[in-house]
Amino acid sequence: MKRVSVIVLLWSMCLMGQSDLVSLQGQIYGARDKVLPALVHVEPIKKIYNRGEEQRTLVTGSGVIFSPEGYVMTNDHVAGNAEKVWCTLSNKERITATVVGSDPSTDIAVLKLNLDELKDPSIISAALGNSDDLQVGQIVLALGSPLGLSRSVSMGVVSSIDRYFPDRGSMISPYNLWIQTDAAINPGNSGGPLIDLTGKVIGINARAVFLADNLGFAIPINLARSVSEEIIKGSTVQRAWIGMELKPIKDFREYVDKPDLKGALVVHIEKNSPVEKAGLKAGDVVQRIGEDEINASFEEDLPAVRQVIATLPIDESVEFAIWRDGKSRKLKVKTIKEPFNDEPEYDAAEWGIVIKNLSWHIYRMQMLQDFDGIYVTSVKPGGPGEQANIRNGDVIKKINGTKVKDKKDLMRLYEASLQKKTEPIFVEIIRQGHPYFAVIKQKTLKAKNAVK
Amino acid sequence: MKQFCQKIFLCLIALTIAGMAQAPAELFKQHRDKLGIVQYYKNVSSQSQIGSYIKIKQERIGILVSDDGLVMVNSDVYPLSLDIISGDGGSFASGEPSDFKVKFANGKEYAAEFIGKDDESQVAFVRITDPLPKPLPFVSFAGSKDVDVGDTVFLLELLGENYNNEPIFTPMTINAIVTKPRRKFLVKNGVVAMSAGGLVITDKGEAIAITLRNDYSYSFMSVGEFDEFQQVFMELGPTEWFKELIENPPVLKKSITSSKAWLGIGMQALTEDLREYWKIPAEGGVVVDRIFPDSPAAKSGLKVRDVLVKINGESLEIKRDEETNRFRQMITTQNPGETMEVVYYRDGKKREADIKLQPAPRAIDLAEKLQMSNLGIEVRELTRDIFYNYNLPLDVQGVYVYQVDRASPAGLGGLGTGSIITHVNGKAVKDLVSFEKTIESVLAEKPKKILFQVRLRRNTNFVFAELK
Repeated sequence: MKRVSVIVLLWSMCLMGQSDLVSLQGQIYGARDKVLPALVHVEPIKKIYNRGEEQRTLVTGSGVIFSPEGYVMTNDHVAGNAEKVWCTLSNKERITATVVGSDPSTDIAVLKLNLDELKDPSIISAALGNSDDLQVGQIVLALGSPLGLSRSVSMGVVSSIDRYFPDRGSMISPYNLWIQTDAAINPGNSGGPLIDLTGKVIGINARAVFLADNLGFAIPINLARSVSEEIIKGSTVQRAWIGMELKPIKDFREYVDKPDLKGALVVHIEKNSPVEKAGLKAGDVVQRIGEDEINASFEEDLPAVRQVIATLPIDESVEFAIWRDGKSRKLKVKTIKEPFNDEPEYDAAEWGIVIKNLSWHIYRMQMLQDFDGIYVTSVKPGGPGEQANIRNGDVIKKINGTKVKDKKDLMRLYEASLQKKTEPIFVEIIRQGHPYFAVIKQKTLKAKNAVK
Repeated sequence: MKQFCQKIFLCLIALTIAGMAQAPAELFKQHRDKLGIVQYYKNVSSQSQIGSYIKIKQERIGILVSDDGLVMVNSDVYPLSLDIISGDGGSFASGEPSDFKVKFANGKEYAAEFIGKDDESQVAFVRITDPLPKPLPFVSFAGSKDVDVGDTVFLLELLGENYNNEPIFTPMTINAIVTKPRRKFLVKNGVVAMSAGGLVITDKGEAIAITLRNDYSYSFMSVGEFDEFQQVFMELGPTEWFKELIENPPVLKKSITSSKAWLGIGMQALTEDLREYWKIPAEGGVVVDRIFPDSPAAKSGLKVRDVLVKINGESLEIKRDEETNRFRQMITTQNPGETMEVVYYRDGKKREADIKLQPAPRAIDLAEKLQMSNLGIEVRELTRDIFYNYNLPLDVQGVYVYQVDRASPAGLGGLGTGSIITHVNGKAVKDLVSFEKTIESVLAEKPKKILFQVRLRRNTNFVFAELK
């Protein structure tokens, strides 16, 4: 009798194991069927400049439809600043899309499919999940076009939910932690969805590590969703800026021997920044910003603090509670808009240079003193710019004595100089932190209606 | 009268013999013993232990230039920069060279010491310190003004260890003479010798030049593009480069300043287009695009955008940025302390100024240092090059982090080379002495953590070194 019951038990356990497997397979199929129809093979055409020459390049990536109106979420590094985007849907129909906007800081871009090109304009969109509920070890699927191989599905688990990368290299993620997964992610997967077994999108695949196995990284969907909504509202994400750098409090807490001290340690104050004007100092501990209590014990806690700062109302005074030398204080900080706007390059063809708005990278490299200017991304060999000794990376501050604040300023001055046939063009530059002077002599200006 | 005629006759014969070409084999024999091997150890900082150095044996060609044992060698034996204007910054992690020896073909070996160097002329001097049995045969250099393209010269050099350091004697033709920025000779390259610093003699037996280092000279045009390499030719530095240095060898002084004159400006050439734009009536010049704080230029009131067109009565015919080197040379070859007359244009108006040059400040290479192996750092006093490179105001105080052991408390805490430590545990660091004192007093309290407040480029940061 005993023996029989053991056999029955074993048999039922086998059945159970098998049924678990059957149900797992079922869940995978179920999840696949929910999201695969919303998967998009994205092929943006981008204008690039190589040594001042305009060229076009085709990029391959992935995306996911997340609204019935045809909005597609993808990566900024896939579709940002694209001229034209080709999208192949899961039924292999190929249509065009327009870039609604993109956000380099989070690597998110939003496209809108031109649905009128479809035979049947009803499309399926994927449901977005909640990335805050993710667990390490949870099974996930990555969908996309690895190395251009469209409609591929790979599987793995969430390897980590709080991967932090310091602010350097290509893994910059000031505002988020990354979801790390061992589901195979290759170039081309970028922009594609990472989904859970209920068929909800929980991340946007964005990075793979070369020469490593099974190390893929996705942007948590909660951030991707809020950024996408901002982009749909206004094509860019407006962030507040106050000009300080923070470190986790842990070491400082031990150093001052105050185990209960909460906050984040201010380690750098940018010159002429809102926090400098407000009187904050390196070494202060920020404990509250507006209504938000701040506590960053580890570096993994920093993105959330940066997010608090970035979402502050712009041009408004916010109360900061700080701890300095054992005493608590309150300060008012008036926020400003993030100083640099990522916009497409501009080809000042008659001058033989291509320019772009400044970025933090250029600001630091060129040791700039303020946020005004534009920088040269490309110089055409043999062109007037090269003959004037202008180089890649030069920051143009003034043209014929007039300040150049940004790309729009330069475009205006450039076009006016073409119209008025101004000659020569005196350019004041910052090169490696110091002034440099150049004189551009425009080519003989061709009449607009010259025979082509 | 007869006697006088005889004297003249003898003189003429002597001159004729002296001016006559000699057999190459004779020339070789005459000069062979005047060359020796300068052996020394290069000391490279160990990456894993502050204060320890890896010794690497090096050999160079040395030329005896006096009978009491003064030996001339290429300046690369001493890679450290003497001041902020010379050297190429390639000396990082180099300690000072040590254990100099000079070896001769007869097997004799003498201990020697480093005297000094002149980067501009690519020569350094070491002096034999062992007692010499008798005066040594030495090279006395003759002027090279008459040397012309097409002249035959002979290179006397030494081969490397593989060939037992045998001498190698090569006839060459002067293929070209370049005059700017400084006169030198070019010959078709066939470098097989142990090092630069070989002797060049004419077919009359006159020593007229030395072989120079084959520095790859390329200029950065735009991304991924370089001027062609100039390795086809070997360069010969003529007597005029170092004749005076032999008579009065440079002595390495670890003082605050060097013996080179310094003006303290950053500059670009007055190109034809700039000249036209600013309507400056000059053939060329240099546009000041940077004034180094507390330099002679700053003290004289020169400003960014001033255009210098004449110094000491000599017009500056500089029209391309590559030619600004010529101006640098015009400055460094003057005596520090000398007053220089400058004609310049400001806002279209001609002005004149007398500027008193100063010796160039010392660079980080020769700065006072403090090695703390318990923390894993080597710090140095702040020198002017650090202020100038990072655009720092001169009132910044602290010490410069020259080296960090990755596995040490400082390394693990994230302290990086190139940072300036401004505070230790909240106490301001003025200089090396105050740093040492502060650290000692902090360590005496046996803390678990030390807080370094640092500055890297323009950013400040806090680094915690754990002492568990």
